[in-house]
Parts: sequence; structure tokens; C-alpha cells
Amino acid sequence: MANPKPEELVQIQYPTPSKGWMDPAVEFRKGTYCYSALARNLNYLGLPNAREWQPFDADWKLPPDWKRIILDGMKERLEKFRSFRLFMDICVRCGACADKCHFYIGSGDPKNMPVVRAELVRSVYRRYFTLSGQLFGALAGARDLTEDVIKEWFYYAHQCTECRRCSVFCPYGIDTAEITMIVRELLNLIGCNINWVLEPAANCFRTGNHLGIQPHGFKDSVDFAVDELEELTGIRVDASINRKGAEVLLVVPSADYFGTPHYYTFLGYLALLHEVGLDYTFSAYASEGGNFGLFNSHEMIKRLNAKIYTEAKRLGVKWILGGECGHMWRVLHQYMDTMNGPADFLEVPVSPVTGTRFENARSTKMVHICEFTADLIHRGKIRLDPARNDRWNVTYHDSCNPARAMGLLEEPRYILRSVCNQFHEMPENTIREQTFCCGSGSGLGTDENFEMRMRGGLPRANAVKYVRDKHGVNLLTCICAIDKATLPPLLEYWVPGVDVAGIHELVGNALVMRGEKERTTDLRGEPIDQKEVAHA
Amino acid sequence: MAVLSRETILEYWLERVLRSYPGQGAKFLAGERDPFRNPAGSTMRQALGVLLDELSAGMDRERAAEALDSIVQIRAVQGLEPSQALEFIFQLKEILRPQLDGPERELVEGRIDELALLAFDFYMKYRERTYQARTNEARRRIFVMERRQGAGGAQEWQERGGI
Repeated sequence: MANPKPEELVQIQYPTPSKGWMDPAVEFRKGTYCYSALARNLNYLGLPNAREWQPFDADWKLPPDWKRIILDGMKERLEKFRSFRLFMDICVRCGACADKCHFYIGSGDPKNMPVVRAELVRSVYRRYFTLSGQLFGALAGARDLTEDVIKEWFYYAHQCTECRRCSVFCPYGIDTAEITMIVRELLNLIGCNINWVLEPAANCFRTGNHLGIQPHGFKDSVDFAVDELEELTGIRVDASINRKGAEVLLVVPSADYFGTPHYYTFLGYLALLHEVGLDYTFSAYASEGGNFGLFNSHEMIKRLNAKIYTEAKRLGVKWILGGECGHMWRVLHQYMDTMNGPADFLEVPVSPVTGTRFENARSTKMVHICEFTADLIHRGKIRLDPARNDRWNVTYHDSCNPARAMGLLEEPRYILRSVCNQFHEMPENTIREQTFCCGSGSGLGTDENFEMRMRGGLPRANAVKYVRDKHGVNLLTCICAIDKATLPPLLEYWVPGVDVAGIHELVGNALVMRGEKERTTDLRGEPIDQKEVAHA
Repeated sequence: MAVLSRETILEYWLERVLRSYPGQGAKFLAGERDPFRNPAGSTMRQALGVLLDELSAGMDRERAAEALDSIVQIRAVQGLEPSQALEFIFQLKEILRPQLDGPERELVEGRIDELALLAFDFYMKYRERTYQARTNEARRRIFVMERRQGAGGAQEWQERGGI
């Protein structure tokens, strides 16, 4: 290595922060927080301290004994969750997680380093639950619990999307997402929650899905999709609802039958399951795979998840198939079995088409549609014409939860390579276990939080930009309903010219159905042979 | 008259720009060179370098505009006031002033002013893009309902700029 020139040895001083990290004061700037939950939603769910307030108000109208409630809540959780106590005690502040958070990378705010974000809670833990903290206070890294600390917790616990990228790098395996979950639970005890989480949760509790769609609305949506699919393919599929005795219950995120580009993925499921003759039914109550309880409290996860096994039992199915969704799969894979199982009334899932027994789902009895489809392709049970996706030059975003919470890394790629001709991976340190979050997960995908989301999503968008510029990629595929809602505006801002789609949309495009009419358009109604310029 | 190398001027400039970020954050943004681990910092470093080269050499306006655009895109959504978001251009004047003399200084300062005007355009472009993206996002959420009701239909929406 050549010696540096003298002028290059000039010492450049980066200024230290004007205040220490222990100072909890935060400024709620427009565009960087989510609005508070409406009182009616708290009331509907029976949650405490329903009132009118907003994060930017000086007075948050906390209950008079808020401090006792929080400390009692911490004590209860330290005893109940060994992981929480371990995470409070074990961190050596090595900093391996520091630069792994997309919010830190995008914003440069030190309190968005996972270690510091967790330290905001640990300092309170030390002050009230450790001898050294009680004796030595700030010297031992302990802080008093004040209203400003509550505001700071609220601010930063809602700048963590619970994506768990940081935990991949922690040598101790500390799962910072779980710390965020506990902080949100604690805040929930004194009514400091956000509407984007609680409104879907309240809707879900009432109608079974986040959007509050009632059974007749659900049926209308499914019927509409069946009609549209018939127009596109010439084939009328049977998508039954609440049909007792079906072999399989299909549970999808509600955005699949309401939002775009999710809807095209939904059409893809309908086409595929018809083609292989799966005997399945939807449930008008288990009409939501997603579970915003995950972003609120463990109790809420359990309450909202209960419908899935209940409906499977009521309808008498053998096993459950789940659609493309992110956090839905963290709940199904890691919590459902112990919270609402055992589902001993169901059978270990076996694909009736291939005979494959899904041993990995032996306990939960629920199979991911990518596992199901990859198996179909592997056994040669469906005919595919990847050329029908030739207008797309595809890359794949590993949605955080399927990738990191359930290890679903190969199946989506295997499917993509079978259904399209042009596929390029993003750089290695931005995919698979190291995938970057969309920046809007865990209930943060709100309109009012838009600017923060653009910052948090920069690392993901930056990797997309790289493959757009290098390979001409014009489609980002993913298997998460939140991704499908929030990546389009992210890319619209950072990487114009790249669209977003679910994997089963491309499967639906490529699928050669028996008896189909000549396909002139894809599921979006766009001409199949049209090649688009990658980007303007 | 020039006594500082390009690299040193660039480091000074980057350091001034990064002062708008909290302490520890600035260190990371300046230090981490992997463009995928540090997209904001590496984009700024790379783009400031291009701007410096273009200002002091032939001033390829297209290349300079592209570099400026990439910095403003980041700073337009970082919670900065517009004046703060764009002050980095003027900070270069202070750094270069002792380095340049007479007509050379006038030339470069004129070019910096030209870039500053262009930066206003980019800043507004990106703010407007956030409004457009927010509107489109809201429309996507009720896509099926709108389509079912046949209100205008997808075609018309596309014509209005949605996807």
C-alpha cells in the first residue's frame, strides 16, 4: 500500500452529538411518526386508556399511575419471557448490529442502531431491576423512567420494522425485534399505540380481516376475481367459500383480494389451484392470513390467530395452505402451534397432486404456497411457458419474515427460474438472510410516516437500482403483502421504472391451463408479446 | 494557488455536508465504503467527487446534474428544511475561496451558483414525487373496490398516471 500524502493525514473531526444518548427528548417531526390509535379501536379491543391524543401533543394524557403500570408490566414480562431478561442482561455492546439497520443506514440517527434502540429500554431495566443501576444510576448506564422516555420509546419502537436483520449479525443471538415487541406491549398498557396497527386488529377481531370486509363483501371480491380470470383465460374456476368437507383451507392476506399488485397474485393462485384440481375452500372469517396483533402484543397475536385453526376445524379440512404474506408466516411458523394448537384434528399435509408429504409442516399443518408450487414444478405436474413473462426482467426481494423467520429462500427462486426467462439477483449482502426490509413493515406503512419509510427503504431501493442499471431489471418480485403495498411507492421515489409483483402472478402468467383460450394478455391485461424498455 | 489536493477538498466538503447528521451517524456515513451497506454515504461521496471534478474542469453539465440529482434525492426525504438540504452546495464556496484567485474563483463560484439553481429544481422534483407516490399508494389500496364499482376503471386511472 502506498504511503498516504501528507495532506491526506489531515485529521478530520466529526462532531460529537450535541447531547448524550441518555437524553430522551425527541422531536416529532411531520413525516416521521404514525398517528395515534383512535379511541373506538381501543374500546373495541378492550384496551386501556382510550382517549384522543397525538404524538405531537405536549400532554399525552397518560393514566395517573402510568409509571407503576410500566414497571409492573416490565417485571411481569421479565419473569414470563426468559428471552427478554436475557436480552436485557447479555448485550456487550460490541456494535455488530449497529450498521445493519435500514433505518440507521438511511437516516444516520444513532438511536436507530439496534444496540442503542434496545439500550433505551435496558437503561430503565438497569435503573429499576438491577442493583448496580439502583446504586450507581447513570454511571451504570441507568436512566429514570420519565414521560420523555415514554415518548422516546414510542418514537423509536415505531422506527423498527421488526425485520430481524440485526439479529442475524448478533454474536449472542439477541433478537432486537423481540425487544421492540415488548416495548410496544408496554406502551400498549398505557394506551400509547398507533392506529395503523389497531384499526386492522379491531377489524380483524370483528370481521376476520384487516380491511373489515364482511362475508358478503369477501364473496363479491372472490366472485369478481373468478369472473376476471375467466375473461383472461376462458376458464371458469371454482373458488368456494365456507365449503365443509374440502380437503384444504386456503388462507391469504386480505390485500390479495383488495389491493394491487396483490390482486394479480390472487388471480395466479386461483388459476394454479384450479389447474392442479386442488379441493380447497376459503373461509369468510379466516379471510386474513396477516396478523397485526404481532405489532401490538402477544395476547393480540393469539386472539387474532385463533380463527385459523377454529375455521379449519369447523370446515373439517385436512390441512391448511397459506398465501404470499410476510409477518403472517412469522406468526404461523413460530407462534400459532403453541398459542392455539395443537391442531391434532388436522393431518400432516400431503400434496394430493404429487403425494409429497410436507414434513416441515408436521406440527403446524400449514404449508406455504411457494412450497406447494415448487413441489408441483419439481415433479413436473404443471406446464409452464416462461416466455409469457418475457416483458419482465426479474429480481427477487426476500421478504424479511419468510426469509429470516422461516428460512424460505430457495423455493421462491426455484419457481421464478421456472416461470420467467430473465432473472438477476441483487448483491449478496442485500438478499437471503441479509435481505433489507422494505422499510414499512410492522404497521409502519402509513401515509403520515411516508418520509421515514423512504429513508428506511433506501438500502433496499439502492440494491434494486443497481440491478436495474446493470441488468435492466424492471420487476421486483416478493412474497409479502406489506411489500407489495409499500415497495411500489418506494421504487416510484428511488428507482422509477421498476414494478412490483408477487411470485404467483408470474406463475399465473406462465401457467398453460388445459382448455384455455389463446392467451393474448397477462393477468394484468397487458399484451403478452409486448417487450417494454427496461426503464426510461 | 491551489494548495489542497482534490481528495482533501472532497474530505472537507463531505465532512461539512455530514455535519447535518447526528455525530455517530456521520462517522458511519463517511467511513463505510460498501455502496450496499451505506448507500446514502457512498452516494454522497461519489457524487460530491463528480461535482468537484466538473466544477474545476470542463463542467459537463449532464454529468454534474446527474450527480447533484442523486444527492438531492436523498436529502429531500431526510427531514431537513429545504435550506439545510441544499446548503451543501454553498459550503463548497467557503472551502474553495482560499484556494482560488481572481478569474478562476469567479468562474467556479459562477458554476456553483448555477448548480444551486438546478438543485432547487431537483428538490422540488423529489418533493413532488413523494406527493405523487402517496396518492398512487392510496389508490392501490382500494384497487379492487374501484374496479368492481367500475368507477372510471383501471384504464382511466393509468391515463391519469397511476399504475
